[in-house]
Amino acid sequence: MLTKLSDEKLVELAVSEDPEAFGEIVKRWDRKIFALCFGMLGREDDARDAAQETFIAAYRNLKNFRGEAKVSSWLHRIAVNQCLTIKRRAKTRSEEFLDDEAGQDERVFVAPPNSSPARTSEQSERFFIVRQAVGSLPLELREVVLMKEFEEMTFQQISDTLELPLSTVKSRLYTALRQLRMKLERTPLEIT
Amino acid sequence: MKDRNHSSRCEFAEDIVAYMYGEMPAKEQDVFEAHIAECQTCIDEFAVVSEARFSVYEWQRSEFAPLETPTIRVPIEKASAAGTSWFQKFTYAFSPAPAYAALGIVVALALGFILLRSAGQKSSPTLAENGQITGLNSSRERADMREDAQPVEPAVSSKGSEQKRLGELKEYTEPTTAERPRARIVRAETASKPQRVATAKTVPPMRTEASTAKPAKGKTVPRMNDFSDEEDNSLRLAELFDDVETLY
Repeated sequence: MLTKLSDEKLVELAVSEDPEAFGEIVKRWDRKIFALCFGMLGREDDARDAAQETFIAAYRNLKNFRGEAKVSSWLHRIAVNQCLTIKRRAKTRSEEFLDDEAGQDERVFVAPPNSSPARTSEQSERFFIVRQAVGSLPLELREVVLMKEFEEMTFQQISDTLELPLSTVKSRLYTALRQLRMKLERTPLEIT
Repeated sequence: MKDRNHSSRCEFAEDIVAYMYGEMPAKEQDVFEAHIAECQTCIDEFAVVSEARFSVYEWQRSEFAPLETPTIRVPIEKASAAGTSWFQKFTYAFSPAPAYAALGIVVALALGFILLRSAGQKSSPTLAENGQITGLNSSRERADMREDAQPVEPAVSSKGSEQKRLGELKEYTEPTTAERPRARIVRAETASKPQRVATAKTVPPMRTEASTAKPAKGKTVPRMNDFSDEEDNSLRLAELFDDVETLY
């Protein structure tokens, strides 16, 4: 029943101390908030912590949500602030800690903790959709995405390889990711 | 940025990907962070781009990253890194290898060629100092050779021992023009030997005709080819190959 309600209605229910309503909000937005935090921080463990703190902060400030903005924008703002706080905190850490942090810089993908069969099936379907979406991108955009994400090349390396201006490479990647997002939104997952 | 679909885009939107991939200079990064903390448009835009990027990243990590790359080991590096003993180096030098086998065959062929050549030189007819022809089997051949091969007469003058010595030197170092045909006869005889060996079993009469025809005319045998020493060697090599063929 909660799955059919809008985000704003769920927030109203959560303010009226309905724990399941806030759980539904988390279920809807945890991946997107985690993706935002990963984009801001660049590391999965930091992104996971930031996403956790984002939802804790949202729950504590439910009563301050006035409904003037979308719930998505509200959560995005909280997440960005959490990420900036983590970044500032990291900057003020000692040099020794930064060395340790550099040692942990190898990004190792860790499977999500709740890797249930349903979740695994959902992921498989998502990967199929992503593959289709990436494959349907125009070649000039797709090659930049693949070089960046699969080859892990820098913008400068892509610029040198494709003999394009640096700004054009950034622009193409930005456009590619936006188009990708639109394609992924148009293809909802069948398994929920 | 030329994305016209997103009309409400902030001027900092172009910097989103640079910031997201950590490729923004530190000063610009501070400016961007200060801006995004206040700009809701950039926050939402950042969330959109981040979600798309994370989808690709997650797909890439899940489907491609777990593939373990093969561990490549180069034996040469391993052998050079670990100190090998002199015995191992010695045995490695004689380890069976195609190159060594080929080299062995070449060396065996070369030795065989040298042995056969030296054996051929021993058995070939030569002109002794006293004018006797050695190395010929039949008396007829010796007689034929004697007719054509005149002994060298020493050019001794009556003007003293020094001139005698000069005459001796002339005798042994500078052969007269009359000597050269003799040498050619000897060489022609040896040159005819390969023909004899090659066709000895099949057409023996040809050998006798060729060997007896030259002295019968009583003059220098006309030569079909002016063989040099190297060409003479090739003839001996042909003889060797003919011998090899007769073995099989």
